[in-house]
Amino acid sequence: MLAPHTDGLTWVRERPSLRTGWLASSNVLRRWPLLWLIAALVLTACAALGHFASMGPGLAFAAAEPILVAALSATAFAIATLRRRKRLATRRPHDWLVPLPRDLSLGARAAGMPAVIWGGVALVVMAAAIGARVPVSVCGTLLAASAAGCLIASAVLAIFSSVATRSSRSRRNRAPPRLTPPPSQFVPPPSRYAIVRRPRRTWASDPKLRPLGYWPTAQAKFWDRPKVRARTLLLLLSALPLGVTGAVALAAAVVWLIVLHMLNLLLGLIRSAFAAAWWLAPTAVGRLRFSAALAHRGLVAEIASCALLVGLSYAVGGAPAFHRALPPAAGWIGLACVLSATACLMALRTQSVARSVLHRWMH
Amino acid sequence: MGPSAGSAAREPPALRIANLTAGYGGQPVLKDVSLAIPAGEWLALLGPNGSGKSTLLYCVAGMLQPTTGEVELCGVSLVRDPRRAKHTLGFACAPERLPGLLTGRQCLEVYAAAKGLRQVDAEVLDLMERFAFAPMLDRFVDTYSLGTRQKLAVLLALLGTPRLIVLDEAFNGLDPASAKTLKRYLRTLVEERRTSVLLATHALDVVERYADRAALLLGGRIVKDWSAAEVTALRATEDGLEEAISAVAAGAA
Repeated sequence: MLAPHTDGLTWVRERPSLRTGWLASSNVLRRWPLLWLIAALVLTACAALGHFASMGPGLAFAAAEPILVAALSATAFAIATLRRRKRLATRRPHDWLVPLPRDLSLGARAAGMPAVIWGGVALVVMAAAIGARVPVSVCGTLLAASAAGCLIASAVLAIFSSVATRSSRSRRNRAPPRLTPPPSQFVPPPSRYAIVRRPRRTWASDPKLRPLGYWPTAQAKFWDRPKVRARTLLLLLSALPLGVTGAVALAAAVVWLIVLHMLNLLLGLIRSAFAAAWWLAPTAVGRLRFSAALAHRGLVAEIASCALLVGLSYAVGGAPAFHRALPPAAGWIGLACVLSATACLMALRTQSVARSVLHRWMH
Repeated sequence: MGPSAGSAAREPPALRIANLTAGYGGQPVLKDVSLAIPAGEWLALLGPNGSGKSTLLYCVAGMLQPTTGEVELCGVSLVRDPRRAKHTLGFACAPERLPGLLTGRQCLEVYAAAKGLRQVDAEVLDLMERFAFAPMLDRFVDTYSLGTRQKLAVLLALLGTPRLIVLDEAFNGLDPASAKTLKRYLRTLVEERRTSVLLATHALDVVERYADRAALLLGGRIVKDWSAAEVTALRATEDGLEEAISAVAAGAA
């Protein structure tokens, strides 16, 4: 019979979600060591930004208001934890660790990722502070204030969670046992944002390759879904300087939505080129037919979006704005054509390992 | 009336694999595999998980370039003339690899066009009705269950009356009625049209009842090839193929 582990790590061993989380992240870093380099580059860029954008006064101002920093950290931490808790609760029926006897509570598991994110943000702020040559005391005050905010938020959440658990237990003891409905397991499929086109009457008697063009546009629509749009738009609007007029803010929002759609279309074209080439590999489809069928709809949408942007520029700023907007729009269309054509040709040409590795990475 | 004995003898095998070595990222999965399937034969490829069955099918479908060796489909080299060779092939990809953002109808149309067909075969449309797949045609593939995806993958493989049909665990997730329909349909194709079938499977009942030959892949090598006569003999025994596989695997270990 196996003797149970009794060393200091027993507590961790008995919390499988903690161990699996740790093992998964260390495996990711071992599998893609390039991530270390990327992280180092990001931190260097933050330090450079702190130096060149003179972020010193801003950081000093924040350090002078530790209660505000703590309140902001607590709010962000609490919102992130609550959202993650809800997501974990929805996925719980499919969780492979659920049948195990012991694990962390749902709340503790939910707080793990926001804590990691807090660590990342702290590193970024420290890099910027080093770049801006901010005194160590200022840096320490900022970190201590935000850490205190996170701790207070997690303590409040833990208290609320324990009270809620106790009251639900006492309700269960009083009421006769009954079947509780399982939580909603609905996960919106990617196609929720794409539209089913009316099929051609002659689809079976005269099949065409053209419907392949719906793939990249549907992919772009999925990436461009309202939730993602709202988040990025919020970031954009909060980055606008104080004092800008409503008209300018509205124009920035419209331009951002169009640009985001164009970017998603381009990425959708590239990704679906590789996936479609893999799917159609057992057929004898030609390169030119494949590329034309896959990319035509996406490229038409890119051109329409660029035309809309140029038209809006003309409507707002007249001829000078039109002349300024035209070259980047034409450049973007050229870039989209070149990148999508290259992706299609590469996807069909590079059989074997390179493509299968790329395909796995893209999925 | 079937073809004469002379023409059958001259007919190239539907699939000929010679000294095939293939793998991923420099790691060989298949080692010196040689195999031939004559026209009008159903070969079942058996083997434990990770033995290289799917890798072998990817090589046959032209989705993975072999490191060394030759793959011929109906006498045409897949390495030297892939476009001509693929005209004779029908491959059912893994259900999770189907394009989730296209509808079933769009998948059928695109695949038929990619195979250069003038129209979707009436037999495939008929089989679609028998699979009760028609109500799913205008739904996105990512909303399909495993069995429905499997049906679509099989329908795509059958487009264009291929001479060689390659199936990877094609009966997984299929309801019993659809599985029976598919087995009988494939058997009819093998017997009446001399179509060849290469099926990678773990379902030994399918092998014993429907396949003509069976090959066992262990550690990337074909370690045993049961002829049609041997498969027939195994059908008559009580333990059948299960015991035979265990004996071969124990011997190989």
